Amino acid sequence: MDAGWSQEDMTFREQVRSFTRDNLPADIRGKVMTGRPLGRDDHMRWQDILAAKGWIAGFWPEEYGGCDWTASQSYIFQEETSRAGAPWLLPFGVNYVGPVIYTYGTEAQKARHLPGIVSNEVFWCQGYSEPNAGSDLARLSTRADRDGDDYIVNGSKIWTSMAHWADWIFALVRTDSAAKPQTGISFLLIDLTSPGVTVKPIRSIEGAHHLNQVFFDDVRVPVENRIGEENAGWTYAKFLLGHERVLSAEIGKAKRMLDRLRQIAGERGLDSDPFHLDRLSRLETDVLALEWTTLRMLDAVMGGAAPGVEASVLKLRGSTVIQSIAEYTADCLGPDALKFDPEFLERTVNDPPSELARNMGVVSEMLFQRAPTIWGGSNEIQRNIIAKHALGLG
Amino acid sequence: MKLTPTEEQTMLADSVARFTADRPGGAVDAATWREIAGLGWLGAGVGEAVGGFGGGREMAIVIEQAGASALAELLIPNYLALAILEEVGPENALIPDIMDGKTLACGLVPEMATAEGVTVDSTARTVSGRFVALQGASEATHFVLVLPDMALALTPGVTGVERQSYRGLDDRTKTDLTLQRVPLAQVEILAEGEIVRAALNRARATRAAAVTAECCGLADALFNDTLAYLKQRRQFGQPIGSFQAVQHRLADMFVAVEEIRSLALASARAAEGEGEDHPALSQAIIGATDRALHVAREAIQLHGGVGMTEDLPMGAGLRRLKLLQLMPGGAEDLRRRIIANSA
Repeated sequence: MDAGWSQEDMTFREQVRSFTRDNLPADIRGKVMTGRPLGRDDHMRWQDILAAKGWIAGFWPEEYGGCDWTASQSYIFQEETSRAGAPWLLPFGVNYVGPVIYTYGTEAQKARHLPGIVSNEVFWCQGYSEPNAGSDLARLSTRADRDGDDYIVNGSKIWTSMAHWADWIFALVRTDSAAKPQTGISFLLIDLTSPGVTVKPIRSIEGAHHLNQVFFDDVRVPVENRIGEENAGWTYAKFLLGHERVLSAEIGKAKRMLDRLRQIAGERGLDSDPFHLDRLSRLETDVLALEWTTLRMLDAVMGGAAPGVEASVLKLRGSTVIQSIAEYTADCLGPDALKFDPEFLERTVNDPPSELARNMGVVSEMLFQRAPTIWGGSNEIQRNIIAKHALGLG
Repeated sequence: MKLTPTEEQTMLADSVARFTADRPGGAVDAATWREIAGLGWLGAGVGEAVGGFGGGREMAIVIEQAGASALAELLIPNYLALAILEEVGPENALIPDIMDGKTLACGLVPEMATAEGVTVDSTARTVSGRFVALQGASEATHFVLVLPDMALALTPGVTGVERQSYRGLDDRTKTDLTLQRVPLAQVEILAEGEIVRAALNRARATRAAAVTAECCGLADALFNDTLAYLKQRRQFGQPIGSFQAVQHRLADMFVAVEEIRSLALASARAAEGEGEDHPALSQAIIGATDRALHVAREAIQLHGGVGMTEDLPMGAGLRRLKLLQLMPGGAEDLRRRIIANSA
């Protein structure tokens, strides 16, 4: 099955493949392939390598440090790097706040913030959800009150991935509490070293620390750090969510996880077990359908169609398919999945790969993969979007 | 038919539920164990003739009510040991010692071993096998093993017995027990020959009753937590439980819990008296585990972000159920055995 890639696309795929093969550090690849946790340093080392090549923000316009990649090149880059065992390219700066800044920011904001993303020097995180504003994000209540040339921010953000590693956070804050929920929100860039910011860890069900709650207690943020108009933040937030969801169908990662599943099944002599072959074949079919849905939608976007409900389709299936592969991989381990110690995984994170650590990594990933169907607009919200906007129901 | 609980059984359920509600989470210490023994719960799985007060049904009630706590997993190996002993050695001194909480025992059946199985070398007079991820085995002083034609009790000090404990998928201590050519001369042979068959059947039915009862207790607790949360959590100006799509998911979870309860009851009935070895026992374990896992996954999803945190019981529930699913003799293993046997 051939999607009819152009000669340029095929050449580009070859370039990404050989670059990744030659430059991805073996220890980082080893951790990714075995599902073991990555440290800040692991992410940063790989991203520094990409930054030096100029590929951190490939899809950005050249004037801001990108390569003007087409949508198909972005897809090829993600597929090839993930399949080869590269870490998830952290999207908070490159995919989320960067495009918001170059689309809606002032010249001064572009000059100040874009170079740090392209050079991989500034680590960003995302301040959207709050304890009482999850699916109903527009009801967020973190306040920013104007005081001269500053806002004074009070409140808290939750489920903030990697905030404990981050330098800056982009946050949705309420600047008009009298207005309708969506119309009183502004989009602020906040330096996490500002006085009054506290980051508290949240341990998730696999025993690891990715998530945080970020508290703002009279934090002064210069008004010049507001993106666009006051009270128009919802527009920028939605623009960003579109970018977040398109990324959810991680074909390269799905294929990589299928490779590992086949390997684990092979080790256990399951490759001729009809029960296993049935389940494996279903998952392979899911990935095939997801891949071609992604390609079809990619082609439509390249033809100029605005991405709409497609993003929801990809988020819904991308998260579910990877979740299913992750769980069935642990099932294939059978009794070898029963030893699990997150502290051991953390303690031995830089040790050479071992079968025990690999098995625990598989279990850790199985548990962690419950999150993608919740985050980024839960799958329930995606179904609402499809029902309302694509099907005209309600 | 007598499927509704008796007044005594209802009182037993209430009393266990009150006890575990007062001690949420947490490991079970020696004092708690003595208290449980004092309350007589360890006698729930055996009959009056050996000093107990029940059978499969009473045992299942205790396990179900303790199912969402760490207590269930310590009770189960002792119940299993008692069920075997009641069949093959009603006079054995271990019975009162276990019921009084003085001795911690761990009952074993062949399907709890790895795929290589448990083998008796009748020429060399030794027994070998490897059991993994046993619960309540790190401190057990007696292992009671029933095989198709031999039941035996052994202590950890015997030649060729090795055990290794570690942190399990359910975040509690799990133990691998290896028997490497353990001389039969050094173990207590409880019974041999044809009469052991009944004990094996009884033990298998008891294990099915215990696993399904724990699934039932866990799934019921996770369902109730989710139901309460969805009534209270407000988004879009209303409780999220008021959305029909969410209501249907809860309705399906409710139906799943009802079916688990039915499978647990069927297994508990099978564990009463003689016990029976029947393919339906494997199906009950598979069916209850699958349904409980569905409930646990839905509980996390419907809680949203908080469902992913270690502070709430959803993750621990999923981890415990995955352990029950993936252990030897668990749903995944039994499913493969059923398919292999019919091929």
